[in-house]
Amino acid sequence: MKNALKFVFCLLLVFMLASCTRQVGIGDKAIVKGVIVNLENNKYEVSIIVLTCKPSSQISEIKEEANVYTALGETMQEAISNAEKLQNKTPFYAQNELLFISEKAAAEKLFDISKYFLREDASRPSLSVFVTQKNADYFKSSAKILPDIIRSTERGDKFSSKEALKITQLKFNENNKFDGYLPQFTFKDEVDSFFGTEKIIVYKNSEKSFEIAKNDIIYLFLLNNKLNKLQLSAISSENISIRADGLLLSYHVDDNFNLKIFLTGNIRSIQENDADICDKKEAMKVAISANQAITEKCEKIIFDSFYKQNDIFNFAWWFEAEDKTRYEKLLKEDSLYQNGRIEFVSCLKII
Amino acid sequence: MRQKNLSVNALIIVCMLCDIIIRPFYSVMALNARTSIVFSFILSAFITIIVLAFIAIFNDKFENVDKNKTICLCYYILFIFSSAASIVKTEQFYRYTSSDTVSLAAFLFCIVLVCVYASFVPSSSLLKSAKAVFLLLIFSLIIIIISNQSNISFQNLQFNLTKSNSNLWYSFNLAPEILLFMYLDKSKKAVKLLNFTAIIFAVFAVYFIFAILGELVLGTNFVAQSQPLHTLARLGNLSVFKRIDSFHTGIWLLCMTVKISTFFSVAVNLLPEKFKLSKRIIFSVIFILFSCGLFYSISTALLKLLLNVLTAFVLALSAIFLKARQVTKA
Repeated sequence: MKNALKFVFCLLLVFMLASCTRQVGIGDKAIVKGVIVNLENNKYEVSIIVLTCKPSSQISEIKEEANVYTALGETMQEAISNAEKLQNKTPFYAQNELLFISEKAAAEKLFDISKYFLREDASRPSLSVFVTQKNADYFKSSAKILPDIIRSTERGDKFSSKEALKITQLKFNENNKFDGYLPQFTFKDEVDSFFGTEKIIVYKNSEKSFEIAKNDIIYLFLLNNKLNKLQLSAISSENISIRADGLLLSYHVDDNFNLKIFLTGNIRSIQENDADICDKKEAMKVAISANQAITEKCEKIIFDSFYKQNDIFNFAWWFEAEDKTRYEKLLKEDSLYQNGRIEFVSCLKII
Repeated sequence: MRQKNLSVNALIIVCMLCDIIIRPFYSVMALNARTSIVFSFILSAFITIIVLAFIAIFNDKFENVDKNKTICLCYYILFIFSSAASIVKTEQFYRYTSSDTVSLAAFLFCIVLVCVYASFVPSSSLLKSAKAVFLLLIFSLIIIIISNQSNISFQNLQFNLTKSNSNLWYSFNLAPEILLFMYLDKSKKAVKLLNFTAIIFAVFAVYFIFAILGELVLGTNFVAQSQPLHTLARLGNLSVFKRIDSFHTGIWLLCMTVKISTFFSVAVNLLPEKFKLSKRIIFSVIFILFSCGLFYSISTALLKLLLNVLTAFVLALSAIFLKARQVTKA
């Protein structure tokens, strides 16, 4: 009897703690799926994208709807809570995966925005950050496509997780200025039925340094050690394509204090007009030109970034790891970023 | 006996790891991995030397320590204070991690209920539950490492020591668990020396691994975190499972509950046995609620300082008392 009473008491306690008293039903929660940050007259203009489902007896008729609520505020916190007040549900941020930042906000306030989302425990630290040219009005008027965008983010089909930069990966220099890159998100009306990453913008000291076009984005990820396989087309001629996997970057600082980066990997298939090339000599030729093409493209990106004192791939780390005194001496002499300091060699081999 | 020793070790490790997993809320991490590892190594060495010396000199007489009323009172106050401080920290962490929370009164009611229950059960049951929680904690920590494997980048490691030293002294922690260990571990001198070294080594190893992992994953953002391990838990994903931090948070809160209830039940047993157990418990509950109220009104930095000073004071007082007893006997 005593044990039974104890059990009932524990059960009561569990029910009491399981929010039976102060419950917020799932229908009373506003599930925030994305946040848009813009700057208006030096104030934060924050929009939250809230996804709702209209209940229906038939599963096929259930449609997701996106609502965008926009508000201004002096700080991120103030703007976001003002936006939350525009609707009457309890906001829920645990599924928030997208952060769109306007170009102006990215240039001026990226540090503060990232600080807010890093400290904010409710949102995902794996929040993907994109730069966008669109403002809140555009998001409001095109709310219909937002569920599609959100779904494609979750599935990772329109853009892979490699393209999406997480909020924890943003790096700032001593002056809290941003040195790095951000993918730009393009919407449907710009390119026919396309949304996803069209180009990548590289920043130096929070200012736009250069852009990387869609076809070259793959080399940026290659240099950032984020790819383990790749597919290249139009190598020596229009119809030839290759597929490689097991990609690995190895770094070596030589005696002259130059960094050599070797890309190794296996070329699994070489195709011309979707048919495998069987001739060994022909295949070797294609492999050589593929290696040359990769080396050229990567060196171009290194030229635009590292040699212009914008170390977006953190190459300086390898110099510092090799010999700290020598590294600091070169930094003082301003000769770390001189031409020829980095050599990229692609050595993909045919299997 | 050996089983019991292992359980005591597990209990102390769980209690000490609680401070590493859930950081106090007054400041952000602010020290990079290299600085904090160097500092924690010095701190661990310092504490180990002091405690080992203490055990080597006084262990045989340590059982007499609870025969002196003044020292018993000091131990009682220290244990109740550290239990109350843990309650405050747990409540803050619970509020930090959950969006829908129960009221403070309900939280305090539950935690006090657990404490009261813990003081009724024999210490062997407490040690058994500590062992289970210890295994769960190890599992949780391993899951964090595995789930963050894909986010690791070696180029995130920082070479320089953090320049500002002001945060260094905030990190100083003379854990009251040291005295809890002395009190609970009744083994012989040689075994006790070994046990304490093993505990400190285990705690330092966990700290080392997670400081490095935090920096490997978060890079320079590591120092901006108020709860670095919780951020790692939120970042990690296992296959299709994302946001598995609620799993970790549950285990960590369980660890905190074990820590709070252990301190409380040991404190209750320190009160004179001429009073009934229920009276001792009621008095301790009132005292712990009063301490919680006090700790909510003072800053977290001051609270930590208070606990450090009190632990050092009690340790010194025990040494003086035991030395005086040795001299008298001689």
